[in-house]
Amino acid sequence: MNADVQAMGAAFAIAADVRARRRTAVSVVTAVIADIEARDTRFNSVTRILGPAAVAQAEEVDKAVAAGRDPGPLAGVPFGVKDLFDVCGEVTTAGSIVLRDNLPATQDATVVARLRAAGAVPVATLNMDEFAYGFSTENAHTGTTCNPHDTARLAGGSSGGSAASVAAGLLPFTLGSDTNGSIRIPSSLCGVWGLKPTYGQVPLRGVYPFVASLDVAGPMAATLADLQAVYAIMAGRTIDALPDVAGVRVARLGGWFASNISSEITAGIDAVMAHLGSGQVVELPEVARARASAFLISAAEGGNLHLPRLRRRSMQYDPATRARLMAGAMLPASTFVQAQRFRRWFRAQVHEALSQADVLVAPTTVGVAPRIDQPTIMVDGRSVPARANLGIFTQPVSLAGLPVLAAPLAVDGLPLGIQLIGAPDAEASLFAVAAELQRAGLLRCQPLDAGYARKDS
Amino acid sequence: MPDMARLVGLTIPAACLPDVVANAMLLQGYADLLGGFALPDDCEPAYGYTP
Repeated sequence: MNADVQAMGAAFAIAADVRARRRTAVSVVTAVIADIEARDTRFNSVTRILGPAAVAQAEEVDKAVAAGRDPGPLAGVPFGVKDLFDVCGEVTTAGSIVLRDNLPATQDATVVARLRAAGAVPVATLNMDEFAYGFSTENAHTGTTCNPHDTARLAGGSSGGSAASVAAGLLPFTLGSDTNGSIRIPSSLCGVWGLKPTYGQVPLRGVYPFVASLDVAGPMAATLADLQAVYAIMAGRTIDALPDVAGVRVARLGGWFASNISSEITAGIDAVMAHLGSGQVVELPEVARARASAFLISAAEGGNLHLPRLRRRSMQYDPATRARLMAGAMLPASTFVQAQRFRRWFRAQVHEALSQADVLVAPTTVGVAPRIDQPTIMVDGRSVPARANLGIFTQPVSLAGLPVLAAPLAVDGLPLGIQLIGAPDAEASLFAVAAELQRAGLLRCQPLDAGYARKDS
Repeated sequence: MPDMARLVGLTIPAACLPDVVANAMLLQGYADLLGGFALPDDCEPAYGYTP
C-alpha cells in the first residue's frame, strides 16, 4: 500500500475511484469476494460471504453514480462485520450454533445501516470467539482464525476475523466489538489499527450483547484515515479538526502496565515517548482489582444472559465458553455488586490520572501472538492460557470505559501494538497523537496483499 | 457445586463439571482479591455507568 493511499485511506481511495467511474462498485465487490474465496482458506477469517446481497447493493451504488446522485463518501467500499452485528436478511450467530435457528435479522444494526447509507457494502461476516467470550478466536464451531503474519499463530480475539481479514489485505476495514479487549488485542497481534470508542457513545442496537456494562462497537482498518472516518460514521459524529499534538499531554502508564512485557514493546514505547518529548509516568492504583472486577462483571452478566439456554441445551455450546458461562451464572450477587461498586471507585482514580495527562500510553499485550499449538503466555513467571489472559492490559481500561486507539508499532517481524488511552469522548486527541507517530514512522500497518486496491478489477 | 447450580436452575453434566469447577475457582480467586479491598459505604454500584 503506497503512501498516498495510506494518507488518503484505502477505503476512500476505492470510493474516489467509484465516484469518478474509474472502477464500478460491482467490480470492486466481486473482486473482493473472489479474493476472499481464493485466499481466506489460509486464515479462516470469514464465516459467510454475503454475495448476492452485496452485488445487488453495489449495483445500486453504480446506478446512483450513473444518475449523478451522491453515492456516499464510502461508495462501493466493501467491509466485513464480526458475526454479532445484525445484517438484514442474515441470521446473527454470535459465533455459535446455539443461535443458528433464529430468524434472519429484519434490519441492519444501527452502525451497519449508517455505513450502508454512506455507500459501504457489507460483503462478509467474520469469525470470533463464541459469544465474544475469549481473546483467541478459537471456536469449536467455526474453527481457529490464523494470524496472517504467521499462520501458525493466533490472531487474537474475540474480533479475530475482523483483524485477520484486514491484516491479510482482504478488506480495507471491518467492524468488531470490545468488552475486555476484543478489538484491541487482535488489532495488536495482527498489526492493524483499531478503535474502542468511549463506552456508551456508539449505538449497540442490533449488536448481539455479551456484557452490557462493558460492551462497545468499533472499527478496525488498514489505514488510520479510514479508522477515523469509519468511526465518525459509526458514532454519527464529525471530527472537523484534530487538536495540535504539541498541546496534548502524553504520559506512559507504569506499574502494572510496565511489567511482564517483552523488550520489543518496551523499546517501542520508549521510542514513542522520546518522539513526543515526554518522560512522564502515571500509575493507576489497584489495577489487579480493576481487572478482577471486569472479569467478574463479564462472567456474571454473560452467565445471566445465557442461563435460560444453558438450562436447556448447554451441550450445544463450545466447551470452553460453556464452562465459563456456567461458572459466571452461579456467582453470588454480592460479588457482582462489589465489582460494580469498585468500578465507581476506580473511575475516580482514572479521572485523577487523566488530570495529569490527556493521553496515556500502554502496551496492549505482553508480546507477539502466541502459537496455536501452544496457546499460552507468560505472566509473573507462570505459563497461563492465552484465551483467558491476553487481556491483562486491556481489561482494567475496559472497566473505566475510556476510549482507546489500538496502534500497530512499526516493527520488523511479528506485529506488536500499543494502547493510546484518552479521556471520555476525547477520541480526537487519540487520532492526533496516532497521526503524529505515524508521520514519524513509529506506527505502521502493513497488510499482506491489499487486493481491494488493485485497479484491474 | 451442584447445590449452587440448583439454586439457579442449572444442571451441570458430569463431563462438564471439572471445567466448571476450575472456572468457578478462578472467579472465586478474583472475588477474594476484590473482597480484600475496603470500599466506603457511600460508594454506589456503577449501574448506568457514565465514563
